[in-house]
Amino acid sequence: MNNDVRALRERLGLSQGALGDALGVSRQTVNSIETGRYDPSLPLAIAIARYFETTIEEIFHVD
Amino acid sequence: MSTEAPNTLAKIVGLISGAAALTIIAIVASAAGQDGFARGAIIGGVAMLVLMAVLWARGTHGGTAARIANGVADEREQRLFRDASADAGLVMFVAATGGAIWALFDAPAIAVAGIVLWSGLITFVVSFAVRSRRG
Repeated sequence: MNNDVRALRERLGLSQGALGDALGVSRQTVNSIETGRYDPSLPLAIAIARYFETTIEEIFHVD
Repeated sequence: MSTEAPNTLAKIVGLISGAAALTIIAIVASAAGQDGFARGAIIGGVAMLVLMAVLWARGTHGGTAARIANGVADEREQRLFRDASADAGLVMFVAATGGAIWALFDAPAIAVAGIVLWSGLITFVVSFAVRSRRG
């Protein structure tokens, strides 16, 4: 699954660690999500969408 | 997404409990005439206790293993730990089955137990490392 987490994060000028702290996950987990190696759970996907003030569908795209 | 880290008292109690269990295992093994097993249990057990103490001391920002040890792993890290544990359990099941068959041919019990334990430990470490790199 592709996602726009990296673009959204960089648009806000955040580091992976800062976004991880805001979401309650590790920097490594943010990196894994951005590179598509890990698909987050629904609660985490919702938290990501809320953080960027958008919807899950706008961030995550099925291949 | 994360949980509270166990407090210092809980960690100290954990280490003392581990040391107590280790001592009992060594005493029982020694009483049974298995001095080599007792020595190995002490060496391996102390190594594990030291590892846990180091991971606890590193705190919540000390990497995936430290966060898991401190009980503050996020969902991805919890999945890594769960999947690596499942892999180890599966391999230990196979090893135990093989060991049971080997025991039919008078294999020493210590050797069978050692193979089961080591196969699980090695599988866990390898699986955790590989899964951690893959995602």
